[in-house]
Amino acid sequence: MDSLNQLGNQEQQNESNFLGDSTQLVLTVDPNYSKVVYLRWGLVVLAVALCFAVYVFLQAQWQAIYTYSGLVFSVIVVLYTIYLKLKIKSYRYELQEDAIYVKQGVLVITEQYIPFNRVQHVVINQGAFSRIWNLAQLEVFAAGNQGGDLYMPGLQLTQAESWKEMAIDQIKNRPLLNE
Amino acid sequence: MNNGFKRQHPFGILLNWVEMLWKFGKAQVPLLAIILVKADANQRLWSLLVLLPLLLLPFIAGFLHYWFNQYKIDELTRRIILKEGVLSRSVKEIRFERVQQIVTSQTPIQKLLGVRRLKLESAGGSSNDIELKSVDEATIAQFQLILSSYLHSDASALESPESEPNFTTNDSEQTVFQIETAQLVRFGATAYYLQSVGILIAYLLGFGYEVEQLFQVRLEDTPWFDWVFNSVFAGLLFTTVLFIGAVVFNLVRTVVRFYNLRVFIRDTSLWITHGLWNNRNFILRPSRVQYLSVRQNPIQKLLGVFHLIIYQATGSETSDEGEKSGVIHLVGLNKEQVNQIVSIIDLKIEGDFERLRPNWRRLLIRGFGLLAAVAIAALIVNYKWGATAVILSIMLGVLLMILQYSSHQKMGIECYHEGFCIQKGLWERDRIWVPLHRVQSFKLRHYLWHRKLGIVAFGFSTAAGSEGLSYLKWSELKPYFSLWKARLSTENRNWM
Repeated sequence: MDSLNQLGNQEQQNESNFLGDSTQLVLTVDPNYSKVVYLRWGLVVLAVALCFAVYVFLQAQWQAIYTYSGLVFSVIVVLYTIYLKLKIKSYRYELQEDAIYVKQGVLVITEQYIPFNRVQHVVINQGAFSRIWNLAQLEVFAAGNQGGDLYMPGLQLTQAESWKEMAIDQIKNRPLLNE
Repeated sequence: MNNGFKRQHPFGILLNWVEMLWKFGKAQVPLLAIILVKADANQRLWSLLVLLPLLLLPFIAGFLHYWFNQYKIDELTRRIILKEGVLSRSVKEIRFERVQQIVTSQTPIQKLLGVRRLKLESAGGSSNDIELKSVDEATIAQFQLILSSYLHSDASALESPESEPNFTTNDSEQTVFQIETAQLVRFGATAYYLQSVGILIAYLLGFGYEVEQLFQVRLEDTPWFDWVFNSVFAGLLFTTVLFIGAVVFNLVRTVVRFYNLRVFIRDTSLWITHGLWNNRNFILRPSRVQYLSVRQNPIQKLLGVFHLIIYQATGSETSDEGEKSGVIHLVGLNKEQVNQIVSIIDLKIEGDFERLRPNWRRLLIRGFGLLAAVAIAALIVNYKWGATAVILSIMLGVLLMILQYSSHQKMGIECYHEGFCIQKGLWERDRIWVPLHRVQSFKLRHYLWHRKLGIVAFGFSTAAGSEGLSYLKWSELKPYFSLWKARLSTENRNWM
């Protein structure tokens, strides 16, 4: 396990998950990932606000409804920002002995588990904003079209790559059928 | 024809034409209707002159489709090759042993011409499927012969011996069973109740008011109990009439679709045929079935008829007929026939098991949800419906509560060492048998406030789809879950 330790930080289990295993390699998202998320969200807010501003500007005068909708919009923005903050915090990835484990969610907490011998392929996905901070999303796919796939956003690119290598090594080390 | 490539039967041109016409023309139907109704003779003539050449376009498209789609059965390299596309050409290849399922269908018109529609499905999803709209019977037979032998040969190469289906290898056809029409009628008359009734009730609530007026003439002078009786009577009468309509519709649909349902084994692959108008034929590998579900509603339980659903690892996209490809339905089976299929497919999970029940909170939440839906529906129609809506909604609510309670009593998950069996469903109750080695991944979900209670929703996914059961006690599930986790990661049986 020593060689594994440089890939992630060993973290104390805080009894917040059912399938998690504290003795394994644990990762939470990179601190920079929140910047990516906020940047993305900020752009959406900006776009909506801009449309609103242009619309109001084109109207002759200010109406009460603008104030109310502006207030409602700000409340939504604040609430969703809090939600995003909690959501980013909730991500937890584990490279367990024979499986990959992902936990995420704020109100509905989802824990997913794919054994290595069921992994079909692994994908590293890097968005435009993620590239600024050299972050990446690791995607682990099982067979079948829906349901069984894992998405692990907010990893450092190097970390994602080493996890990918690890996963592939794990798959390779498994004996093929009937061999 | 260059190096062995063949085109479909020329009848395909006509079929293509009709299909193209429908594809491009269905949006134009309202326009045509308006022209037909509103236009004067002169305008109609002009429309006709415009429309006739427009009919030609799909014909040309259909012809090009026919001309440029060429297929080849290459026995040397053991693959089926389909060249398609007019401007951008593409070549699809499926190796014989990768064919998951062969589906053919035939309407009486096609039968007259001696052609069939053929679809070869692989596990990769419907974009890789090879579909030929009309192929003559001789070629179909050739396809079936070659592929069904490969359906078997691959299984022996990839699967470990113990998962081999345990029937003898011979070329002869061995009928497993045939569903009698009486059994089919029994199934058809009891199938799909709840969905149809739900739609009918919605219809009733929407349009019933006008009809109800007939029963409510001179309400002011009549005593209140007469009035209540009349409104309830009106409501019940219409529900009954619509209900009978639904039953007849379902019955006819079931019998037409599943007429002469026959299951047999040939070359160790499983053959399923059925259909009165559109005769369908499925050939599949028994050893490649992912999981299956035995479905039955309470009335069918009394009659002893079953609905068996076979899930295979094919694309989960829905096909033209609105069905999941790779999902095969067998209806009207009796218990013995279900067991026969289960033993052929080799999905029998045996041994000791423990049955876990969902928490009572599930009943509470689901029951509350249903009641809320009924109450909202009642509120919406109440303003003009008055007593009938209230009384009908109360009756409906009580009925749903009883249903919900009885379904909750039957719900649960049987945990075996080699897999699990999930029992769920409100009216149509499923027993979903999942062998452990087909499982791809597990998923647990819980609400933030259920964490302390230790209540989780258990989910799994296979190559054929995902299923699960909510409101389970984690402390009860945990020992089995750990066992399954450990077994799954050391499992070397092929999940395919």
